Amino acid sequence: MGSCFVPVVAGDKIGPEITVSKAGGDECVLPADEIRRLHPGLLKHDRNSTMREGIRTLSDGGHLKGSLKACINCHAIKEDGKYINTSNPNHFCTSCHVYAGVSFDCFQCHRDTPEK
Amino acid sequence: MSSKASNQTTEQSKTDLTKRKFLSGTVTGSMVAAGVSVAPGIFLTQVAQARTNTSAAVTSDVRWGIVIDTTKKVDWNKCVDACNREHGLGNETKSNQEQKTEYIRVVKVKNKTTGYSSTLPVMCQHCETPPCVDVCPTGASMKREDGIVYVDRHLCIGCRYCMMACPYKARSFVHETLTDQKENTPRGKGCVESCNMCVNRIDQGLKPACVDASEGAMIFGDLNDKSSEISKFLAIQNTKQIRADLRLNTGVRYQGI
Repeated sequence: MGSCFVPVVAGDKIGPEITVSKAGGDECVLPADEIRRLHPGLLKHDRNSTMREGIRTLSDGGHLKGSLKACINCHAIKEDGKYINTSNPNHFCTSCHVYAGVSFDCFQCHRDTPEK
Repeated sequence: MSSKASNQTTEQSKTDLTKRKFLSGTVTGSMVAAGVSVAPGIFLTQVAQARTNTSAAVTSDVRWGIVIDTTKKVDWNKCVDACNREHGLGNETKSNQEQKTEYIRVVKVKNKTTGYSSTLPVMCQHCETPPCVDVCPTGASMKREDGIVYVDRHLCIGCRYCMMACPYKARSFVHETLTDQKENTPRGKGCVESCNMCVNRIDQGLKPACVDASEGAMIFGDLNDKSSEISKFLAIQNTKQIRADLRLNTGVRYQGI
């Protein structure tokens, strides 16, 4: 499934150019400036809801805001017909985290590409 | 007598499957009425054959369990293969045979006096009072309210104390960097893991992968629901827990050992 991605420059001209795939839709779960700051807490809070309490969806049936699986499936980018993983600098998470110098260990366990 | 019971269970499992599909609906996590609703969230009768609402916290109204009939002539390795496929096990290429993860071990036991032997699949027994949960220093080894015992790998530090504590040798440790995990079973180096009763499938209203592959030799269901197929089976067939003397009250019971 083709994905078009649009390089996004941070509004304040300070941040990196992040490749944002629009394959999954037009809007992220939170506005860009909020998700940038709040995604660590969001992921951590919702993972506890899922792991400890078994909550996997919102009451309307949609996925939790902090679902890492949903992030990956929505922000997936293809190069040469294959989904790229975090070793590729164009991977959605890598593009910002390399710039910020913040390492993450999410993908030691979680997939960094969509399964399908 | 045992064939009569197995006929009953086959018929019941067909009905239960239809009921389960009806209950779980077409969208995972959508609110589905289970029984008669008098107000949102309040039900007169709770039919717990499947997880009906994944937007609310799990409660202990339900206790999931499995019954395994070891007298049925089943190749248990089929169940192991189904489990491996479901969770993406077997991608530990650098580990030796003792180190590789096994959620289910096929064990053969023989009574020396009588010569009676049985082959059975042994996985996490999902004890009511799990020793692995007691010893875990971080709280990673946990029991969910509905009885499923598993590892929250976010908290696991890989100390392997739970592996020592488990009487059933159910837990495995990942020694190497893994890639291409299944999206519903994240697993990685340095964490302990074990059978989680396919909690990802249960939350979608499905049965564990091993139960589906067992050709009817395994029954899955709600132990707290006296009208469930598994409870009815347990009421008429004699079953045992492995190491019942430890009084862990396991959620997995066996017939024919």
